[in-house]
Amino acid sequence: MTIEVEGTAPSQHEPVNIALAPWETRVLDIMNDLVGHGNGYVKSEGGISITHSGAPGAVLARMFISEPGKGYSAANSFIDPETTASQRWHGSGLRLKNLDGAKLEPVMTVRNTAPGLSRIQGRIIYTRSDGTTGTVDIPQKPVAAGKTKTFSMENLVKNLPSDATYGGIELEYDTPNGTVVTSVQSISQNGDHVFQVPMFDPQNMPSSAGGAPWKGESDNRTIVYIKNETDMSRNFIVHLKYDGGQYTPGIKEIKPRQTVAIDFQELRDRQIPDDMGSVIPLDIMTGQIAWSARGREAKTLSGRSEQISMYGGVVNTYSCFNCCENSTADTWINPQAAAIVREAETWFMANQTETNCYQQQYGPFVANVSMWSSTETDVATVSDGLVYGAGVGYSEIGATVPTVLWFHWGGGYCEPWYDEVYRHGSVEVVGVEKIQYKVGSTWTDIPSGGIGPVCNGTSVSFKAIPTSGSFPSSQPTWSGDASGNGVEKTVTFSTAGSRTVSATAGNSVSTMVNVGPANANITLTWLAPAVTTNTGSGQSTASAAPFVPEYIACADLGTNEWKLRVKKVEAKTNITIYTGGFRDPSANPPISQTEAIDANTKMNAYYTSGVKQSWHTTAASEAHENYHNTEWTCTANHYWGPTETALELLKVSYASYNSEAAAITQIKAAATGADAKMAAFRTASLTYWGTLADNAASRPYAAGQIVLNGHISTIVTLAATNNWTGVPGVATANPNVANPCYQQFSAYNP
Amino acid sequence: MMKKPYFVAILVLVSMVIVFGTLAQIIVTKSDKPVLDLRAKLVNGTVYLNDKDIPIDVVFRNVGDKPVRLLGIFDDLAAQRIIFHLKMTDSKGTPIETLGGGKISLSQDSIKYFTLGKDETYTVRLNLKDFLLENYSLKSGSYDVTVIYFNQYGEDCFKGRLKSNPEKLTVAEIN
Repeated sequence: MTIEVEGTAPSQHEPVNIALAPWETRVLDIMNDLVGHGNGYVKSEGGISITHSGAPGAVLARMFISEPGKGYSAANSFIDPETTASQRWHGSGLRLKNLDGAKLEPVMTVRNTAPGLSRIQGRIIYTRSDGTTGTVDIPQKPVAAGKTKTFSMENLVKNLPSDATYGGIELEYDTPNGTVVTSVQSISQNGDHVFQVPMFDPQNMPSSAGGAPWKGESDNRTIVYIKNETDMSRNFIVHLKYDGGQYTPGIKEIKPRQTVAIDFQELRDRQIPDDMGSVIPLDIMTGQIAWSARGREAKTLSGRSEQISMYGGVVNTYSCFNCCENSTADTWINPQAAAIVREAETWFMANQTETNCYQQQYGPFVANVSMWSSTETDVATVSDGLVYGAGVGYSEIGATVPTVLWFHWGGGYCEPWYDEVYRHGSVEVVGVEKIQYKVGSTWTDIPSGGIGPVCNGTSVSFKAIPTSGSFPSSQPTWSGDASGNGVEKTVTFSTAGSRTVSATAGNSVSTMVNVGPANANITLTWLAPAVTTNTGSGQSTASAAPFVPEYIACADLGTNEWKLRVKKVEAKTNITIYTGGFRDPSANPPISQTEAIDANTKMNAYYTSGVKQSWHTTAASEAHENYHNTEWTCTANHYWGPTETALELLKVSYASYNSEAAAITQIKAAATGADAKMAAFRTASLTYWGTLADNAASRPYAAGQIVLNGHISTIVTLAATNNWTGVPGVATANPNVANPCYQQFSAYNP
Repeated sequence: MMKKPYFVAILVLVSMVIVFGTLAQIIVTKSDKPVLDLRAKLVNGTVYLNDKDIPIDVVFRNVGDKPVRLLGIFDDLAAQRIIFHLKMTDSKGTPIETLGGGKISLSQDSIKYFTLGKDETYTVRLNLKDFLLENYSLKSGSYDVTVIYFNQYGEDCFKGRLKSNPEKLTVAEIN
């Protein structure tokens, strides 16, 4: 092969011929091996042309340039002029600022191998942080035949927006294809970083898909540059595969001529989720980047990666292209089924996976959808995947999704097969149809009037029934005495009265819960004795009027029971007083000594005989019978406590009786029910009352005697006034009336 | 003094003997054998809702070896409601509230007694309707009726509680 060098001092005398054995690699020093003057030097501009006699592509050449004094080094590749197809050179990822924001100097070196003058011009298309682009024209530069010229573009970029940190560069020349080669670099001010921009012929592009290794250690940044080489907006996708996972930022749009930079390290460090909600674990340091253009047109995008070490002062560029753009592997709609409430929204999306031409699979990711549809628009509408629940029912949500398969025919030729597929899922728009409540273990519809009364302090479980299907997660929302979310809700009611429980999922359904009063022990309500006066000479009586209980029932739904509660029990003594058959000393006092003696003797005998005598008073009878009322009161009061306890243990099945009244009726009527308990209560009380003496020297007669003693004393006074003698005074001055229920109470277990 | 152990024994058996210890020989024995039997007998086993009266005979029988004196206050309704108490249940066993039970103040001229010799009987006719609550209406069906007699009054007479056999009452629709 022949190697011709330009740009040395001294100049190369003539091209050097060397021979390479098969597969041999040889390193040649320009001054020593190619120019022949080891003490010469390489100028700041120059070029090397290699002509070989082997088959096209049989020889690969690289050139490494360094200037240790300035910290400069660069690796340049060679191009084959015979393979160029246009008079253009494009490069992506032209850095305008370093990673730390320091200014860089873009430099363009042009070598004209044409026999005549070549004029070169172009543009820099930079990208702002918001994704918009701007263009700076590179004025026309002449390069004489066989010469190499270097142009600084520092002045062109010095006034760019501060957030323009990178872009792309496009150059064109006016001599025949392949007669001009270019090299573009951005050089840091200290020379430590030389960002080489590989230039390529846009008419001779490889596929718009490729890959690159990724390193995400602290000082190693891998930036992927994707450049749109066309005048139309395009789509691309980029993936990062790492050990144990995959991250896909999704399908992105790239504007005409725009360069996009993707920094996976930043996405990882900021834990930015991708389309599918995944993030790159913070401990992931290495991976493999894959990118591809999306669409049916080939060779629309270029891409490469750049690995930068700020502290190591190293910049590497890497570009590896696949044989074809990626093909769609699978398409589906996500979710397959969803439920929302009326007037709510939910997102549907189309997902895809894709494979590169080496059958490596990537994804899933969110696919572009050309059309969304709903089969029942009165149930659900859809726009850009956002489904709105218009009415209760079911609708199919469809997505028309572009797909493309790339067939590789060899020789860098790929043919697309484009199609659109229809994928669908379903949405159930639900509302609350009704609320049920749990009786024991059975869910039951709540009657229109609500439920209750439920026992104060007990819990009721409610369940919202959807109009169809099932509720979306966390639906419905409960309010009123209930709170929180979910299909079922258990509420403990501790406030008496009419309470409300509502379930809301688009619509609201409420139910009333009547909560009974807090249970408390009651005392018997004693009414004043019902006194009947009879002028006859009969026997006064005191009888126990029937107890008049008033019940309520409350529901303990958890145990499926109506429980009896005593609201009130009225008790009373019926008294009949006979006012005849005796002489009342106050109305008809004795008129003689004999009558006075008889009167006081008879009245004293009331207590000692236990029998009403011929001298007596109605007041004494009233005192006697009222004492019986006192007895009956303390008797019944004593037996009431255990009776109430027994009554309030009575219960019937809630499910078997549809109203409080029906439950009470049943609880009363059962063989061992409330009526039986009350009868036992009455029997126990009467039995005990019967043990309280009502005869001579008993307390009831003592009560009457105390009244009569007043009359006896009056007659004694009358006798003294009339000088009657032998009239007895009070025989029993203070008869015992204490402790009416003086007998020991018998055991009672109602 | 010789009677003291005997008296203590009776005290344990029947409390009312405390007051009427002298009656112990008449109404109870050491073996607590009953001295009186009480039987209830509906005059008409089947009655109708529109019947004004539902007569029921209560029969005292001396089943002891000695005569038994009874306080004879059976003619007066007020007295009947004091000393008789009806226990009445419907066919389901549900008690029917009835009147009865209480206290009565005897007057000297109202106290009467009669004595039942061995195996002799005495019948008192009650009207069951007199023992029903004023606002209670019998419904058709069958009932069990038991009469309870309880007396704590009088001197030298039977004091205590007697319970009759249950008697089946059938109440039919209006004839």
